Amino acid sequence: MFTTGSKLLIGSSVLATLAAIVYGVTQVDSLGIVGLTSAAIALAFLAGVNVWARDSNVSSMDSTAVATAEAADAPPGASIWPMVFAVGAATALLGLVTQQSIFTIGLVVAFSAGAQWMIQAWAEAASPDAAVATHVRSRLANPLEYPLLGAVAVGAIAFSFSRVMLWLSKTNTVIAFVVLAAVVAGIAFYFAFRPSVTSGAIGGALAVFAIAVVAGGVAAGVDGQRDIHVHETTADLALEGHCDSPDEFEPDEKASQTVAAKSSLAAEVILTESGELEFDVPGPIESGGLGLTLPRANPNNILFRNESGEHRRLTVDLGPLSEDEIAELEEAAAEDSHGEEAHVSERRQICTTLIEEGSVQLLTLIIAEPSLPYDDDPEAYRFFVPGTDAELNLVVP
Amino acid sequence: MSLDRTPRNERTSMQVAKSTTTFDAVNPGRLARLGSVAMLAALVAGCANDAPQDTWQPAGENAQKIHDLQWPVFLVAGLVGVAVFGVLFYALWRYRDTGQPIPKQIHGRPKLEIGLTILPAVILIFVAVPTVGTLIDLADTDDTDCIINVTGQQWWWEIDYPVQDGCGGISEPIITSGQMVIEVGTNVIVRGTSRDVIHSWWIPRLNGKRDMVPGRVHTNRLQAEAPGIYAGQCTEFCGLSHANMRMEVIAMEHDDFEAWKANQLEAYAAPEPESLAAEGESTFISQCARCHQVNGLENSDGELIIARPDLNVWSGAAPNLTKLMTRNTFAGASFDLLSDVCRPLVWEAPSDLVGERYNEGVSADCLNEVDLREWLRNPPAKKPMYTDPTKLEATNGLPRGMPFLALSEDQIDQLIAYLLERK
Amino acid sequence: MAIIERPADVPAVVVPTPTASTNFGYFRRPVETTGWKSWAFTVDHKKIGIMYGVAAMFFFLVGGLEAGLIRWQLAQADGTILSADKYNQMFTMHATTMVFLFVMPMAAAFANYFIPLQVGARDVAFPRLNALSLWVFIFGGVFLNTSWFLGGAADGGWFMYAPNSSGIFSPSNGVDFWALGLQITGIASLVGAINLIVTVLNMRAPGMSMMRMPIFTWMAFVVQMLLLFAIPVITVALFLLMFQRSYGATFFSVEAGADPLLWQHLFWIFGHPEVYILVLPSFGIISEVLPVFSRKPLFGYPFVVFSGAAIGFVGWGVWAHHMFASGLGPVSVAVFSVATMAIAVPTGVKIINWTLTVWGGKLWFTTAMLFAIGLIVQFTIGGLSGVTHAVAPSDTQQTDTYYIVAHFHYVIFGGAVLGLFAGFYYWWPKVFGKLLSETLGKWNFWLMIIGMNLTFGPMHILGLQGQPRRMYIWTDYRAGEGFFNLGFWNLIASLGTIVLGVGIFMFLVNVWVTHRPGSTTLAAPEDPWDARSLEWMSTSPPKPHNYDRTPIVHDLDEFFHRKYEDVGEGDDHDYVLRASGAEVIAEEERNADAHIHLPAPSYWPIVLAAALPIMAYGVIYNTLLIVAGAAVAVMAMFGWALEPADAEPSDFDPPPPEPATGTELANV
Repeated sequence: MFTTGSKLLIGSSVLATLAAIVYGVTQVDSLGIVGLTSAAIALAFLAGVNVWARDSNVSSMDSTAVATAEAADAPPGASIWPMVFAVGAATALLGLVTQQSIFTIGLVVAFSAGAQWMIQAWAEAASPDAAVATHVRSRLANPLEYPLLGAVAVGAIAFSFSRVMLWLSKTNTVIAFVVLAAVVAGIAFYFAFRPSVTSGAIGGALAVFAIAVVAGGVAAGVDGQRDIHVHETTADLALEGHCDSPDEFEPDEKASQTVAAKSSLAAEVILTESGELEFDVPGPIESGGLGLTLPRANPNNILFRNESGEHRRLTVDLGPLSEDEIAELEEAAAEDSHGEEAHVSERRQICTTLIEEGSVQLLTLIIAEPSLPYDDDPEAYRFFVPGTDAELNLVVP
Repeated sequence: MSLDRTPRNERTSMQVAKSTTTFDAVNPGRLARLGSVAMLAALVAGCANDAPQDTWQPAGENAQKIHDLQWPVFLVAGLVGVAVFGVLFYALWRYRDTGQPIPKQIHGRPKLEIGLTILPAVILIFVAVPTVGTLIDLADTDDTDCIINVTGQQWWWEIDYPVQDGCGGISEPIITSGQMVIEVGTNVIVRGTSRDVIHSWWIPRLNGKRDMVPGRVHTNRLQAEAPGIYAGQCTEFCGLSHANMRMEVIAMEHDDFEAWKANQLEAYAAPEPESLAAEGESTFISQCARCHQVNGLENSDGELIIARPDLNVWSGAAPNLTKLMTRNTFAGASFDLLSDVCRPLVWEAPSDLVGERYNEGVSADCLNEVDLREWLRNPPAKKPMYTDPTKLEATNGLPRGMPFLALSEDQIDQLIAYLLERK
Repeated sequence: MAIIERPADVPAVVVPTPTASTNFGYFRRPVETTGWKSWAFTVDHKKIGIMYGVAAMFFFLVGGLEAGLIRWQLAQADGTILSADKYNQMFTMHATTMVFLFVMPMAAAFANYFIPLQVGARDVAFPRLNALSLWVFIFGGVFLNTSWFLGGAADGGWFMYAPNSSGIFSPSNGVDFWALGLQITGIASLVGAINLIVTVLNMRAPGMSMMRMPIFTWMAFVVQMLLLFAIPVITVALFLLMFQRSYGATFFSVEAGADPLLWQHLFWIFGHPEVYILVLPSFGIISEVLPVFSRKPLFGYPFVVFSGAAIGFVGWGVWAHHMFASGLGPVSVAVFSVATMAIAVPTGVKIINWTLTVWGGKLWFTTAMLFAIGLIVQFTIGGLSGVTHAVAPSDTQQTDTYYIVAHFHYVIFGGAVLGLFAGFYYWWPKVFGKLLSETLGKWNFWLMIIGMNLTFGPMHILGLQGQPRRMYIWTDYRAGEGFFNLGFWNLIASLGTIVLGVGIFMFLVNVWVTHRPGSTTLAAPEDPWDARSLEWMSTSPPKPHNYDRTPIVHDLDEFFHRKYEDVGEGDDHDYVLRASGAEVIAEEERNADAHIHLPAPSYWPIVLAAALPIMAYGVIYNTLLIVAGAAVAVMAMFGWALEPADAEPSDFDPPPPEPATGTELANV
């Protein structure tokens, strides 16, 4: 009652299940179990389909049909899939010795060809009549093929498009995008006002477009993307101990454009033209006095406004680090700089990136311990601007 | 209500099922009429009590503005309701089935309907204009006299007075919890945020509520016209003990407020050596000072003790207990520090005595020892909190709220003696 | 089911005579007309509608039980019936159950049953999808409620504000169950919405223009459009929440730079249209009930239709009125405040038109009519209290207090639930062929009205006097002085729950009395109410194929115009009875269509639906379960896609004398 094909699939499924159990008992991680179980389920699924579709073996259920249907003995039609399968398998083997990506491609090709081969075999077994076989084939394969091919096509176009966009300069991407959108809209209008245009013409236009995008993507991908500057983050600066330096390797000229949280501020800290640090809190709190008061253990958003004539950063000094912490930092920095001598700060410091004159940058602080700057306590917290004398006390009750 | 018309199925000429012919067996409609009359009477009488969070008894400028806006709206809504119900009930009575012929099959009168569409729109314009006006008015905070920060966390409010010229001058930050003290007649801005989830700051008799959202600073204007204790409650659902997250605003006259500020900043007074309170100090240092700051408290080496709640509880903060007994509630203002006898003396004090009596703090005679003891014995049993160590995987073992400390009865005695001096 | 077909016109193949023994390899279609299989695998919109109703009623009782426990806990100060944790779960699940598992599916029950009947169709556009939405809803609801037994239900409130919903602040699996359960029921709503929209747009009987469509269908149609756009929003929000909790994402974590208000915006962009999703079906129901028992057409039909559509549109622009205290800033608050007032206009139009429908009529106070009038009264109270918090400054005093609880219970219970009960009594004879007892019905109505006013009325006072919502205890110190303090009103509200519960119990008693074995209740006449709209032109209960011949529609109240003749002259319309309802129906029966085609039942919808909770358990407990569930889903989808449109003759036992089924209907 079970045909050869389904026996093979059922056997494989059982084998994969056993493998999953063995793997589960012997190994710790779960990835292998997931993979093997997925394989077992997939094979069981295929076995189900196979049993259900009677695996081309008409005789197993319907002896009359075999006896009476002379067409059942008709030779099978031509098929391209064995060849494609072989190419795929060979590519996969080639990939094993050379490169993993080639192996993957080979595997995908072989797998797809195998699936198509199987479906064609089922379809031909169902009826030797070509039309019927095609019909059966499309009912079986289309629910799989259409979504998969659609996903591949959309993915290819989107990926190619992104390559083109990354290849163009920042300004040109905007222009290209606008022009392209206009062209698409124009063509759409053209078709909309001409109902006589055949679907073939529309399809042709789309195909040309798709090919152009993919070709452009390949060309752009080969040429490589434009230079993209990576600015240092506040975390990098703090880790590498650059907070007390007025320099930066890659200054961000548009830093203030990245500041989104302009509401919800705990305070604004301003470096004035005369080079002094002042703070601004709505209400009757005047700058000066003991300093700026911030609540403890709470994320506080501080906006730094640079009104001086130079590139500046705001740094918060939260007292000295313990020796353990310095050692830890040195270790991390050394790892980062691959053995070169690393500079680490001996004080707990957080800072903004360097910002241009007249712009703003955000700094978020969570301060765990309190601090009251009564005298020249070295542990007292303060804001300062590296490269200037500007200072401001920070009070944390 | 006059809805109790008996269905007159016997007069309908159409087919009526047999099961519907026993309509008149009982008439629950009469019950309903009695019920509704009783309800109405009760509703009128029901507004006469004196709830501490009554939104219809404003005691401050902003609450008054809101109230001036809301009562006409309620009135308009009530009148519209009366009109609609009047017409509806009249129609129900007038057109009950009395054997009249099939009525005219009227599909509508567009002009009438357009008119009746415009009518509510016009009424609403009369509501909308003052609404927007009041909104803009309430948002104006230019004449602020005093800034107070509040920080919500599960399940208490931290209140701190930043260094400023406002509030009559604050030279060093004052930090307290649960109870906010303000001066009568001054415009106070509460700048609030949260350390964990969203909380909401609401002192109904002084102003509407404002959510305090982590990562944001939101403001709420408070101004009290007369001295008194104004109750409030967290009104944004904030987890397990949301119901136990309360707060109070104490409004007092200028002199009382100055006295309160001076007292808050007084230096730490160590307990008499060898007293019960001195034993309490060492118990406090070993058991409580990990999380609870007492400003000026020193260890045996003479070093200042800085509490590290950030290492011990998830929110990273615990109430500052330097002046615990100047407040008269504890644990998120959930429980009274004053006994039932003493509580009314402060809470129901005549307006001119509120500040004075509040500033007296909690004395040993007046202490509500029952609740405080139960709290120290096992805080999570007194007020639900996330402290079960088996359920703290998500917070790396840090509790949310005060954990069970297994204090002995002796230790509790000592702690109470020590805490009684914190004022 | 067969994936391999052998068309008879292919000469090369000899088709063997199908016999039961040759069915190996594909499943026999479940064509039974009785027994459990006739329900589990049905694609008949009427059976699906009934099952929707029964399941929703079950969840109504569950949600009611939760409400009862909440009020029991709050009857006195410092209640001890529930722990804080259990209480938080209770009010979260009460709201979730009532909104997602009772009102929405109950409205879906009515829509499923009556839209095809009212538009004169044989079934909905996609019968198997219809079965899928039913089963997805049921499995989703059960999945959600299994959380009670697996470490506790969700405890963040039905609004589930971030960051309180994240893993740190709600460490049990409750919120996971909630997020996944609502995604599952969301699939049900979305699939159902698409199905009904297509049905309304494409399957109306000849002559039924949009403006001749019965008003219930119109309102249900607006609701489906709302669902179509609202469900994706909440699904996105739930996805973010699921990834935040299960896969370490930081969409709502302040430490990572996120703003927790994002959740509130997403939730309320869904949540406000949701309010209209809940009440508009009931508006539709009473717009059917009032004209019938007033013996007059609905006054201003186009106004009612367009105000419904207007509510549907404006409802998208008012979500932030749930966030007036969230700190949006005065400009946004002013805009949303005014928009919220604007939405009162179309709502007012509806109330005015209902009143004018009654005006000048010949009123027959059946239970259905009483419930409809009850809706107008109770909903108007809710609407007016709604205007008081459209005024944003006073909303800052009212939001998150019991005043809001009172308001939305008057809107949802007074609006949606009373309308649904009106629908029960009005359409019961249509669906089940028997009239419910009017005496018990009156008890049902009055106890519910008294109960709801006792329960929710005092909450106005509680809220205005400062009692916040969602508190597991309240304290005497904040309750005020005197006899009528908050303690008194809390007690009244709790006692009112008992009255309300007894009232709802009366409905169950009524059903039992009417349908118990040996009940003396006789079959209802075909047209017991002298009704007006098309669905009454079928037998009660309707035949599986609804209409013996496809009706041709000439008027808005088609059935009325077939019974009554206009003998007036000119603009003077006088109607006389020409034929009774039963005669009209008999006339249709005599002229039955020769060939009636119905879709065949299918196994796959229920199998596919069962895969979803398996995957959801997988997200919570083990990735392997996701794989297993996905395998079941893929299998079911293949089975579904490959299934032939019709059952093969051999599937019938015994096989029908001649091929009885065809492919007239779309079968997807």
